[in-house]
Order: sequence, then C-alpha cells, then structure tokens
Amino acid sequence: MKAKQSDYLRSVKPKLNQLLALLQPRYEYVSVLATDVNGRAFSVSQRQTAIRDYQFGERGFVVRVYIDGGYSEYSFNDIDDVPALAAEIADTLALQKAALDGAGIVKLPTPLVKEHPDRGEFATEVPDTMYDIDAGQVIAKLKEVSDRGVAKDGIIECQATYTVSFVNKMFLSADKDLLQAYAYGTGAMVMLAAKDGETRYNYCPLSGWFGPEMIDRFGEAIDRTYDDLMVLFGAPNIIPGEYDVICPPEASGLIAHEAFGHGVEMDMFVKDRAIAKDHMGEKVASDITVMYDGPQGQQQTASYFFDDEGTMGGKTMIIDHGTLAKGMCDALSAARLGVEPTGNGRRETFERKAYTRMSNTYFQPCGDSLDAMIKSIKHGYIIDGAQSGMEDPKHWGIQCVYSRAKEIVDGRLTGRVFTPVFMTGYVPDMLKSISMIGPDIDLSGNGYCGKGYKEWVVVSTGGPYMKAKARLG
Amino acid sequence: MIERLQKLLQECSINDYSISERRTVSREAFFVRQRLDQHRAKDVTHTRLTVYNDFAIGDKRFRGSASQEIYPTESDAQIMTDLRQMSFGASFVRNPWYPLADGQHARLAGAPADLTAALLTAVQAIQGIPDTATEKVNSYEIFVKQNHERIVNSQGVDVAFDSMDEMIEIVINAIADGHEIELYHNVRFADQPLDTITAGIREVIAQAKDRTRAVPTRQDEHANVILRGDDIRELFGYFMSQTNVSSIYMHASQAKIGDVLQDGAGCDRITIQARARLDGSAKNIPYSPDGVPASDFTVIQDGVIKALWGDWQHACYLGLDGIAPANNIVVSGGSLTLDQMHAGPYLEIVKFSNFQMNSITGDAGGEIRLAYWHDGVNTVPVTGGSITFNIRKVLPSLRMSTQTRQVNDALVPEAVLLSDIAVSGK
Repeated sequence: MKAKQSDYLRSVKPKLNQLLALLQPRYEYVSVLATDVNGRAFSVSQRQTAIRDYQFGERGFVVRVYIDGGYSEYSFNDIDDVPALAAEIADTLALQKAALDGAGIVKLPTPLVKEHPDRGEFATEVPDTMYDIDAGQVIAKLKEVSDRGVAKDGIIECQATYTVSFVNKMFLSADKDLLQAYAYGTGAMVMLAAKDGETRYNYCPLSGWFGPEMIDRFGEAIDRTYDDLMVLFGAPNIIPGEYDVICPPEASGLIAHEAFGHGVEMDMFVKDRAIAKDHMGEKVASDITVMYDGPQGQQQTASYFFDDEGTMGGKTMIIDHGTLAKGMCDALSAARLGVEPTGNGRRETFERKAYTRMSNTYFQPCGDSLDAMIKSIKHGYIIDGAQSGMEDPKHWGIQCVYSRAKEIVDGRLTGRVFTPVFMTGYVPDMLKSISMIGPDIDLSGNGYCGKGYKEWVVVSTGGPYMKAKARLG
Repeated sequence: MIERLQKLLQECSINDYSISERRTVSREAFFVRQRLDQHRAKDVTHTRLTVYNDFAIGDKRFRGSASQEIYPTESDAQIMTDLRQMSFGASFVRNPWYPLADGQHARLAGAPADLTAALLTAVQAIQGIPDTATEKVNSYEIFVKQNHERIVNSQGVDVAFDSMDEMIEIVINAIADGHEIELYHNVRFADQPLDTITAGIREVIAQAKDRTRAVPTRQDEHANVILRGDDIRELFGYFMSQTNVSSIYMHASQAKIGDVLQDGAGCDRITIQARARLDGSAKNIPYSPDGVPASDFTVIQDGVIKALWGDWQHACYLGLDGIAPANNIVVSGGSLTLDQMHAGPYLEIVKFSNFQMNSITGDAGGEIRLAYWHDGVNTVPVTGGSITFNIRKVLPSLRMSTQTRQVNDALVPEAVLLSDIAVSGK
C-alpha cells in the first residue's frame, strides 16, 4: 500500500495558504514547511515495558522569508488566528532585524533562491502491517525475544524494541506545492551481561520499510548477538598500531558517513570548513571505491521525496572510482556557491535551521568474497559493532568507535577479541588503502547524525564488506 | 492546554495521569565569519501526557502507562482518540504498581526576558573578538531561549517555573605555512557574564594557534595522561549514570549505596554532590519531570556511594524514599596542583575530536585533536592518534587537580591525571 498522507496537513493547508498570502506582500520570498511526524515505540525487557510515541515526532511549521538580501525564519506549532500569527511573525522578525541592523551587523551576501517549480503528492510503498499495529501482539512478540535472550547463560537483561514512524511533510511557496508521506520501522535487541564486576552489552539493530513482522528477525540474531557479547569479557585493549582491517557493512557505513559524508556537506564549503572544496576532481580513494548519498535509490529510514526546503531529492555520486566527484548541498548554500541543490537540506525538526545533511550514505559493492579478504591478511582484524564517529573535514581526520576487533593471523581468525576499538586516521590514506570490496550491500538506519554535537537527523549508512588499512587504538 | 486535557481525561474516565508542558521562546543568529548568515525566532509549546492504567493479575498489582505528545493543533475528537488508544495500550504494560508523586504546589514563574536584547548582547560580544594575522573566527551560532514549564499530575502535583538556556557554538581557524586548521567550541550557560564566555573562546584561539604547529602524537603504551577541558564533565558523568536508579533497576549498573569505588592511598578519592542550583548553569530546574523538588545531596563521598538519584518510578521500584533529580553536580578538587601534575613526563590532552565515555562498560577514549607532550624538559603540541582506557581500571591511581572549573551544569576538577594509559600514535 501507499503510505498515508496526513489528514491534518491537508486540513491545515488553507490556513497556510492564507498565511503565505498575508506575508507575501511584505517579503521578496516566503515559504512554509509543515510537518506531521508520528509513530509508536514499544519496548520490552524483563523488568519494564513501555509504550510511547516516536522519539522524533513533531507537528509544526517553519516560515522562511527573504528581505533586503537576507533570509530569516520563524518556527511555531499553533495556528489558530492566522492574521494575528502573520502579524506576530512579521513583527518579531522585523524587530530582530532592526536590532541586528542597528548594531551594524554585516550580512553574508545571499542571492534570492530561484526555486524550481514543483507540485505533487508523493508516497512510498509500505506494508499494510505498519498501519495495523496491535499493541498487545507487538508487546507479546517483543516479550518472547526478551525471554529467549535472558534464557542464555550469563544474560541479566535483554531489551527488545520496535518503533513504527510515519513522516508527513508539506512544502508551500509561490512555486512549490508538495506533499509527501513515507514510513519506516526500526528496532533493536540489546543483551546485557555482567561478570566479576564487569558489565558488557551487545545489540542487534534492524531498520527498513517494515511493519512489526521485522521483530521475527531478532530470533535469527539471538545466538550471534550472544556469542559476540560473551567474548568481550576479559577482552584486552588492542595494541595500538596500523593494521589491515575488514569492515562489515555497518562498519564500512560508518566510515562512508564520517569520511566523505560530512566532508562534502557543502554548507561547510561556504564556511571554508571542508578541505574537500579544494580537491574536487582529484583522486581521494582507491580505483575500486564508489560512494553515494541520496534519499532516492535505497529503501531506508532517510529515503524521502523532497527535503525540508522543498528541493526534490536524488542520488549523488560522491566518489567515482576513487575520484571526488560531487558534494551534497542545501538550497541556500547552493545559491551562495552557484551550484544546483541536491535535496539534502534537512532540519532536526521544524524548530531548527536547515543545513546540508546526509541521507542514505553508502559504498557501492564489488566482487571480493569475505573469505578471500580474511585469507589475504597476515595480521589484522575484523572490526565490528559501530558505536559512534566524528569527522574533521578541515583536516580530513576521522574517528570511528567500534565495540570489538576479531584478530586474524596468517589468513585465519584466531578467536581472540579486543575491545573497545578506536579507529583514527587521515581520510584519503584510509580510502586509498581500500583494496577489496564485497558483493553484497547492507544499510542500517537506526542511527542519528549530528552536525557537530547537535541537529540530530535520521540517516542510514552501509556498504559491503571492505578491506583497508587503518590505525587502531 | 492542561485544563483542556484534564477535562478530556475526565470525560474518558482516565483517573491517573501526568502532564508536563513547556513553552519555549527563542531568538537565534547564525554567522559565517563575522557576517550574518540568517536569524531565526520560535515560539512553541510542547505538552507531554502520560496516562496510567491499573490492573491486577492474580494477587499481583500492575500500573501500565503510555505517553505521547499532544499537539496544540489537535481537535478534542483527535485527543479523545489518542486518550483511548493510550489507555488501551497501557493495559498491556505489566509494570509493577507504584504511587505517583504528590503534594507539590509552586508558582516560580518570572517575567518574560527580552530575548532579542540578550541575543544582540551575545552577538556583540563575539563580534568584539578580533582576528589576528593567523587566527580568526570561522563561524558561530547563538541560541537564547526562555522556557516556561508546568508539571501537573492526578495526585495534586502542580508546579510551574521558568528557566533561561543560552548556547554559543563557535569554530576557530588558525593558519601557519599555508596549512589551516580548526577547533570547535560549544558553551551552554544561563545568566552568566559574557566576558567569562569570551575568555573561554580566547583560550580556544590560543589552542588553535598551537595546533598549527602540532606534530603527530607519538605512540606510548604506558603514558601519564592529563585530561583537560570540557570532556572532564563526561568522565564524571559515568559515575552519575552508574548511580542513577533507572540504570540500576534496568541492570545497566550494579551499583548500590555503600559500594567502595576506590580504596588505598594511591589516588584522589572522588566526591560528587548534586546541587539544585549552580550559578551560571542552564539546568537550574527546580523540579524533576515527576514534580519532585531538586535538592542538594551527596552522591559519592571519598570514593563511597552515599546516595542514588533519578526518577520517581524507578526509585519506588528500588524502595527508595526521598529521591531527587541531580540537575547540577559539583565534583570536589583533588590533591595535586596543576604545577605538581606537570612535574614529570606527560601527555596533556586539551581537545578530543569526540571524547566517548561509555556509561555502562566504563570504556573511554577518543581521537586527540590537540595535546601537549612533555618529555620532562620540552613541551610540544601534538595531534592525531587516540587514547583508550576503562574508567574502573584507572580509579585506583586517579589523581585530580585542586583547581576546579565550571562546565555549564558541572563544577569539576580542572585536570585529571591518569596513569599507564595506552596512546595510539606514530
């Protein structure tokens, strides 16, 4: 079935058009983004059950205006008396502008964005089960997962979660009239064990365009999640050094995201915060490396039709067989840089500013088998359990944190495991060292991406198994 | 909205509930170099409702619950549908019964602040930071917010209060020999003199200059590491997570009152106090989301856990009375002056790319963005590489500076000395 459009957004559209009509005479440009994002989150562990709404739920509006060579915005979430609201928006922004102008604050030159005319309604194809949630059944399924998890020797708690999320957005301006609906399911199984004063955990994430039937897939993952957890007890820290590493899809996705995801967010080009600006068209990775970002082309949690500035989304080839080909760009940065926006202008919610943000970021598969990768390594590791990452686009630095590294010696896994693992390095060195890439791609959309340390948005990352060289500590 | 919700709850025969409502008004400005990128304003109200459904199975009594945000644009009919769905869902939630907090009434609301004036003051403070030939402000964002909150429940809690919350995020560039680097700085505060904030930024500018001449960090598997800067707050956050009643109830922590975290004479023993109010903090929130008043109490004294803290539900499950939130903390200084810490060879890390402190396992570490390596005679700035350690393993030798500094909601030692740490480098 098609994801359902929001009845609320349809019902509020006349008021939003009235608001635009009232504001348009005052400004050179006016747009409004309306959001209605909701869902239900279920969590079951041995000790506690919880039902709540989707963590990133929102219903509200942001008006963007252009006047005297600059943009400003007003966010609100009540729309009762439209004329009074229009006056409040205009007065508040005018007062703020007058205060800043009066203090002699100089504006960053920004041309008026020439919007591409777009109209239409868009919806993803999703399973019916997403809209037919039986709370009792979902809780019973999650309880079964939790019970099976804690039945394992040494497990003190097993939490299973499932969240269904419905994203509905409308964008209106003089040239745009857009409505979209998409939906996704996310879940996780977290196992917790304690031994001799040491507490360890491992998790199995799931995400995609799925209803509660995805919970069944936790059953297949219980043994693997358990085995990967128990080997962490007593596991030593890795001896710092540079090693051959094999990155499973989740781990290679984190590298894609941190390496040339953040590095080619082109609002960073406007600020001169990304060294990639000076290296477009240059070799930055090995010849077999191809990397994409885009809200289209993958069925994941960051798959949308238009972004939060009303730009239609596509698919951007960032690295073309080792060459840095193109960046991602929001509408205002594109206007300042004189390029086309790519549909990557995203907001944490209607309350926040739009920045250039990633969507689904991934490496393209190739043809090397995992077995061949392991056999090719004299001393190295399979790193797994992606936890967090951080980039330094100005310096092409990268930090990726993983929960474990499985040792390989003379082409065979030794059974020794090290924890935790901090992978650091210089991005081009790391990407140029990619020597083998697997045939199958897998994306994970359970993560959130920040701009610096804030502005969290839902993203997915992934790729195939990859072999590279990296500094571990 | 609260009164409207209470009326609809009554119509749905839902007797037990809690509601928290927060109106946030903000003014924001975004700059590229010292030029205005855009300015924003917002006025939003968020109302979160939790409904409870009591039931029994055999002789066991349960209190199920479901919670969600109720939007101001919802019609009464939509809200009634939400309420019925929440109450039905709560009937499947078999959590042990516990009483709701009761009896708190207070109106601590102040006058609306002039947020535009506060924003302009902050903008002018940052505009007053001059570029030099080699260092400059790259970009910055300023957020000035005032929150008006009210918490109500079906057992008579009804408290209202206001709070200020300001944040400045700034990026500093420095250049040397054609090589430009950046350092990131984020400061959150409330009602604090802006010269304190700009002094912190000038410190970052000096560090950025040092980073331009930094050499790669040298590998050392047994280094003495001095941690400086805002990440020390994250380090002590581990102990707050471990003493949180929710973590304990959910088995993410095995801590209990009386646990000895450190013994022996080879360390500075940790003392952490929770404070209801800390001057300059953006977290001077007088009540917990359950409507329980914040108070001053000792969480850890000389390395021994003295009290737990956290939310009402999990405190009830653990059989604890008098539980309170810990919005602000004060970590006592240790026994070494900064000069004493600098006596031998050390690696002093002032900026990580992203310091990670795992609140469950105690694993910690991060990539080094700027540190100073002292070999006993010379000191050189270094960058790159990383450190990794487990907080529990370093506790027996942990030393803290006598000097302390405030990082928003935490007053912490200015420096922490860790012994025998593995440093990844070249």
